[in-house]
Formats: sequence, structure tokens, C-alpha cells
Amino acid sequence: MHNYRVRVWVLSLVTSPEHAAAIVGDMVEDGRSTLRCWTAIGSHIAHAMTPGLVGLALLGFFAQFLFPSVVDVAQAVGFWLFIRTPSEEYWRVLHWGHLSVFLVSEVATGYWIGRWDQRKSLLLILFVVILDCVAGAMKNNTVNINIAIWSIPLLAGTIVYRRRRTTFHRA
Amino acid sequence: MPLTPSLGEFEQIALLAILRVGEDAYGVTIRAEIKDKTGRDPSQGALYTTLDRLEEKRLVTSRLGDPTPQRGGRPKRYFKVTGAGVEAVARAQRSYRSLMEGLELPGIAYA
Repeated sequence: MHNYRVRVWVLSLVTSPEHAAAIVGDMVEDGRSTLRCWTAIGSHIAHAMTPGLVGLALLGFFAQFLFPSVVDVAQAVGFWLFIRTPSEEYWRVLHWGHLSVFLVSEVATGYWIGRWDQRKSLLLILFVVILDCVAGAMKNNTVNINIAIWSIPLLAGTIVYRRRRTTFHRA
Repeated sequence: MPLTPSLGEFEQIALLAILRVGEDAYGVTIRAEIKDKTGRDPSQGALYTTLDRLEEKRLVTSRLGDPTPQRGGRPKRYFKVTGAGVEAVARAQRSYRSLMEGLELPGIAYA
């Protein structure tokens, strides 16, 4: 039983799923052993990791905070203008509102990362998550599960874009 | 006149191999042609990264073929050199010839 799907999935971290499938097809046609296949996959990933990726990952890292920051500023202005004595209900709505805004922002950032570099979007997501964890660790002196959870909507956004693009190509 | 992108040595080799193989140019045949004609056996990763870069420079185009059973149901990715690709490789070769003209390298015999 060959694990072709796993090879395609791993390669699709650095290239589009269609191209990853073609590369694995070449390996199968070449009749490579499992060890040589995985060595070739490692070589692909090493070649694909160009310095440009780091810049894109940094851009993605800051992009995820852009929309929530704008909303935060608007909320702060609104608070000082209209709400002087906030109720407990206000803080509850604000908390869930803030989480919702961040969720939308993460999905949108994931989607845009997919558009920036469709071939390497999953690797970019991984870099952004690592940056999130580093930033979280610097702020809280620990890497907690909350930070990792935010990578799920980020990944979902990219998958939505990749699926839409694949469906478009098939059509 | 539009600018032709400059080419690295391996990019030239890949372009020439695609041109030599013709219609059936995909990963396996391109690699085999390079190995046969130059004695170099490039890693698949190096070859595909170069081909992707050439596609980004619009010097080659690629299309996916139909999946075949002998490839585990995976398609072939066929490559074709564009007009800009032909121009780029021709320009690079002209530069080499021009630099080599009248030059005699010790111990190297020319046909």
C-alpha cells in the first residue's frame, strides 16, 4: 500500500495540489524506493523555501491584526463618545464581538495568504503560526493553546481559497 | 523592445532540454534528457524549482495531462517553451559564443 496521498499532501505545503500530484506521479513512474521518494520530497521542500517566504510570512503576521486594530480603535472612540458608564452586559458583548472580529480577520488573512502565493500558502501559514507563538511567548512568557487555536481559522481561510481555485480549474 | 529575463546556467539547460524533448516534455523526460546530454543528474526538487521559476518568468508554460495507472493515477505536467523563452535562451547562447570567439582554452579541443 503506497502512501501517495500523504506524499501529495506533504508536497502541497510548498506547491499547488495539482503540481504536487504530478511530482508524485513522476516519482511513481521513476520506480523510486520509499526512501528515495521521501529524500526527493525533502529536497523539494528545501528548494522551495526561498527568502521571499519570510517576508510574506511577516506580512501575513501583521495582516491578521490589521482589521481587529481598526475595530478596536473605533470601539474605543465610540466608548468615550457615547458610553460613559458601561454595564456588565456591555463588557460581555464587547468580549464576544472582539472574538468574532478576530475570527473573521483570521479567516480573511488565511484567504489572502492563499491568494498571495497559492503554491506555498500552507508553508506560509506554518510560518505565521510560528510567529504568532513567538509573539505570544514574548508577551506571556509561555506558548499556550489559545494561540495555536487561532491557526485553525487561518488555515480554514487558505483551504477555502485553494478549494475554490481547484474547483474553478476543474470547471 | 521588451526586456528578456537573464538566465542562469541550469535554467538554460532546462530550457534546452524541454526544446529537445518537444511535445513529451515532463519531469521524467526532461530529467532523462539532461542526464543523457550533460551527464548531470539534477535532483527532482532542483529541476521543479527551476521549472516553476521559468514559468513565473513566463519563459515556459505548463499544463496537466490525463492521470495514468502507471503513475498511480497522477497526471503528467507537460512543459512548453514560450517565444520569450526561445529568445532568452538564444540570447544567452549568443553571449556565450561571443565571449568564446577567438578564445583558446589550454587543453580543450573544439570540434
